Amino acid sequence: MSDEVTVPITSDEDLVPARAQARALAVQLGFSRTDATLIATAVSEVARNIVVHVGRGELQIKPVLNEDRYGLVVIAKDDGPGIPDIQTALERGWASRGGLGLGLPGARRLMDEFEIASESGKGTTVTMIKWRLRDELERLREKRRGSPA
Amino acid sequence: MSSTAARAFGRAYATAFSAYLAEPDETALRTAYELGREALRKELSLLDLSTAHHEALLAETRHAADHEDAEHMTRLAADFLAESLSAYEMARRGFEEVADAAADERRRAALVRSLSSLLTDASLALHGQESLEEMVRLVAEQACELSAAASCLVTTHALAGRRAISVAVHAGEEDRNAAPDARALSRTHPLIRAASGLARLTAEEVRTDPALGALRSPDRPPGGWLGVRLTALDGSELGFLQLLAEPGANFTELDAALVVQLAQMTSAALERATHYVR
Repeated sequence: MSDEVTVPITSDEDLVPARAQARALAVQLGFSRTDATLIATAVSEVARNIVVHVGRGELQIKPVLNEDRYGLVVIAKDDGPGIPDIQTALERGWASRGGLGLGLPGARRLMDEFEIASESGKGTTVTMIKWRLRDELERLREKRRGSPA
Repeated sequence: MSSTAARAFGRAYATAFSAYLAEPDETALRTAYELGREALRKELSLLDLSTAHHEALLAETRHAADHEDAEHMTRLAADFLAESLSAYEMARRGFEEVADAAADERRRAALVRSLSSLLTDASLALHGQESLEEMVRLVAEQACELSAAASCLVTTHALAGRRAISVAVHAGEEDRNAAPDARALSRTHPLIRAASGLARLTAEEVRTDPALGALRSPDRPPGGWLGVRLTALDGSELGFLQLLAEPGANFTELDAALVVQLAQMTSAALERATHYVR
């Protein structure tokens, strides 16, 4: 299985490799096609956020393999001005008439865990995780094979 | 979106879909996602988007080499459609969040309205210490209900010849066992006074501030804390209302606003009750 992958984000075009890496790992981890699509969409939104608001950053995409569940972790980092009001940033999209609930709030809704760490002048790190539960049958099969898929 | 715009969208969708069938890669899927995002922004109906997809698929399968080719196109089409709909999925989940929040606000507003009329009636019918304590207990219960708190403590000073009151209400047995007693919580009164009547701390602040030992339990992690002063119209202090959140949880701005409103109603009721006694 793929280890951590880092995708630099410097322009709109970098959304494609970011999505591709996330989707490929999602497939390896056994996520459904629907969940793989949602993960790719969430990656698009956080990467777009970097492009639009900061100009450059990077995405780290990596698996988490637990006994009872597999996770896909995306860490989006930038060295921009930071988000002064995280709460408002996560609610933006619904606060005004023109909001659609996309961007960071949209990405948050598609993932299972979502955290933002941001300090004024020191950049922003968005960490989001999507989990897939592993049922007993899958775990037993894995034991018989002797290693994770 | 106008029918002209919907038709233009249909053409763009068909072009992108055709390109995807020729080269089913992430670039083409990203295009689908952007089309859906743009459609949402331009307020295209989901029905129009699904029609655009259906028309595009139909147009392509008409030129399929054979049955297998048509089936292959149809299978690929599912991923393209999913991408184009993903923006709508984000919006749908956002709508659910807003609807849940609105329902919660309506519920709380109904609770506050009901409590307001109850307190108004109760404060005029209080006949003694016991009924005053009952009213204070009702306030503590409603404060817990409104803010989903683990515990609520309401304390009043000795008013108009009546004894001071201290009533604690807890959401569950664990909350009761973990909650600090009234004496410990009285050490937070200077904090509340210094904060002009409303003080709010996060779970992290309660956990790490050495001065807030009174709010911590040795048995479980702390939650957030809210403290409000009860005051008469002339500004004199009548008592305090304090809330403790579940472990790790914090009180929101909305919680604080509702509790302030509750405190104001309680203060008015207490003042009416004591004025009536006089």
